[in-house]
Amino acid sequence: MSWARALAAIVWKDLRLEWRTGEAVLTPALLALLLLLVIVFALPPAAARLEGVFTASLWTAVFFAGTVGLGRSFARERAEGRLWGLLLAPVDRSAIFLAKGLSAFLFLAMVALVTMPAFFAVFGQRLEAPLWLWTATVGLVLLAYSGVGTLVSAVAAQLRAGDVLYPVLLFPLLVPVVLAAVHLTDALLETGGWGTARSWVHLLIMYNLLFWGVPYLIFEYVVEV
Amino acid sequence: MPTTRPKKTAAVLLAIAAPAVVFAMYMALIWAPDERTLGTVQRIFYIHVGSAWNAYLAFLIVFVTSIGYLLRRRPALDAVAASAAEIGILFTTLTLATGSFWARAVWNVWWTWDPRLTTTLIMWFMYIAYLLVRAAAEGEERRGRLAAVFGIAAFATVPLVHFSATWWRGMHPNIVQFQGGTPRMNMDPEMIVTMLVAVAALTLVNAALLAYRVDLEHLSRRVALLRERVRLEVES
Amino acid sequence: MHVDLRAVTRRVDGRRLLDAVTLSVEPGQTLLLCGPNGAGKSTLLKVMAGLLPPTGGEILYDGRPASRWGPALRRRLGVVLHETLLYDELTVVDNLVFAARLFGVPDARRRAEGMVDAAGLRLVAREPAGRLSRGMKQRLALVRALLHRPSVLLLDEPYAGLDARWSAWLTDLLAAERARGTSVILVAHEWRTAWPVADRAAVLLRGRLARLLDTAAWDPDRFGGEYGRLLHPERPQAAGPSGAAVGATAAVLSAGAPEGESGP
Repeated sequence: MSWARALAAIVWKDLRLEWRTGEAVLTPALLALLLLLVIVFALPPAAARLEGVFTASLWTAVFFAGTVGLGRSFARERAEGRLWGLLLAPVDRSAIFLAKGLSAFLFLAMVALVTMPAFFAVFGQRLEAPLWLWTATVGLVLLAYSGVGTLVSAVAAQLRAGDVLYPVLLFPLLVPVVLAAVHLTDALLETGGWGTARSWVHLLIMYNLLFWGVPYLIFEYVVEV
Repeated sequence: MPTTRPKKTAAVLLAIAAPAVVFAMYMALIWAPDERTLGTVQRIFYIHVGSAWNAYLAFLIVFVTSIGYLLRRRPALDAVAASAAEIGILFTTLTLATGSFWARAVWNVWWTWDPRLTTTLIMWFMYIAYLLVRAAAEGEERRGRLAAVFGIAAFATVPLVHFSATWWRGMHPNIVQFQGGTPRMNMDPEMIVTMLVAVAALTLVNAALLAYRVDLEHLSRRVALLRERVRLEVES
Repeated sequence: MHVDLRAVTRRVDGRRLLDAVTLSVEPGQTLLLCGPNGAGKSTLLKVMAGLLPPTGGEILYDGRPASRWGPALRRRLGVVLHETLLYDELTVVDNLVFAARLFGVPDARRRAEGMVDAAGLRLVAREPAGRLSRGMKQRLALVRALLHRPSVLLLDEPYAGLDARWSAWLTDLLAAERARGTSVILVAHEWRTAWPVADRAAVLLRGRLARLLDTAAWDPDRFGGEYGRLLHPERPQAAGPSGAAVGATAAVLSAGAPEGESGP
């Protein structure tokens, strides 16, 4: 019970901070939209209509923009000994990981909510699949992203030049998620359902279990200062 | 810190590994029969498979010693993890290089974005990132702890990366195929023997390299410790 | 709460930061912990707070090893570190509300507002904490540690940044805590400010406990002389009638310049 209350307190605090700084939603969302512009200008006009270009552009932008906010997740806690403040809370320390992961997920979801319609509009892409299926797919992808992103953020925050290293450490681990996102998006756009790409959903679920479960178990070691 | 014993282990391993590699090369390059369609180029396959197996083995060692380090906090376990990661990268590089030569001869390209190739490349990046974590961490204790966390996460991803590749059809040949649950090798028995010998010989090389590298790691830590002691001595 | 340290040791990368520190604090007692920079004072405090694991020995709270207490122990500890633990972008009140919720304090907002008044921060209550002066931040950090009514206080340089008026406020506050039966471990580089509130004083040198004494039996000047001798054993020892005064000067000198953040 006190565990859940501490978890909620950290999420509340992160949302409050976001409201005041805009670091985790506003900046990444802006970056994603700028990337959209760059991609559209960089592509030859005919290429934008090609199959797969929309999917590639969308996820490249979302994954890259996401690192800006996620990387700060723990970097911000390092200053002024704030992480110590969290570690002093009278609850199991797994609550800290879950709370930081949960707020990371909320921020990514907001970034996606703001930027994805713009991608559909600019590429003239129509969504054939039912909206709930699309939401579930994007949700699974972002959940996996925030789990691994939070773990790597906690590691990178303790390294020299960790904010520079962050994407380099994160992306190799993130590849299965990127692949799943791309394959499922293509399937949704072409057939309106998961169809034969269903196995990627299983992979995403596995990945989520892994990257929410393992850090949950070893987080005590990760933050031991 | 033990300094003489590992040196001996390494020397003994090397003494076994060296003739084993020569013998494996003889089998691979001369003794084994030519492949029917690919011809003599196929012989690179023995080194390729041996390297790939040893890359996986080395990363498995990183994984196991990382878990051990988090639980036990023995610097020796961290030294093994650090060494095995470098050796794993070496074997992954060999795998990629030999694969690339083979691809040039058979597919007429140096590289293709086949799933198996792509995932191997990703694995390579993953352990480069592991070495980056080690390089960027300050303090032996912290370096060991953060590297162990990353080493565990990285290896957990390896099977996912690998299986995601099999779901998306590639052109990389699959030697072992499953028919009704039982594995079957699409190979001549002599080729199978050669492959096994090559794998065994390279595993011995792996072990010898690991012993030498761990020894080196201990030495370099001792140097760091002595240097620190001298610094304190000079300051006070 | 009884606090017992038994041969607490912490080694990192082959260096001994804490070397078999053994001491105990009774409920309602205040222990003043002093020593030069790098003596291990802050490390000891962090080990006691469970922020750093000891590599040897154990810490008992009410006779029970800290490792067996689990997270619930941290509800009984109030900690002030050298760092403020504050979020610069959050307001003063929000910082306290967050801390109160983290510790599961019932009616968090009312408690937070009450603490704002206690620390004399009413006028800046809705300001971001980052805009506060050093002294105000220190007060905020202090009341943050008291939100959940802990029974052990671990304070690292609590007087840092406070002027004469607020130093007196802190002294009163510590006296009230003592009356409540709180055990206090107080780290102070500038030990003279904290001397009046302490029951016992300990000197830490290179991770070792060099001296542990009752403040009632020592006047500050005599302690200053002793402290100076501990810090600089090679200096000619001042003996005779002027010993105390010379020792006191030595102690003032060896206490070093205030680090820009202490003093009025």
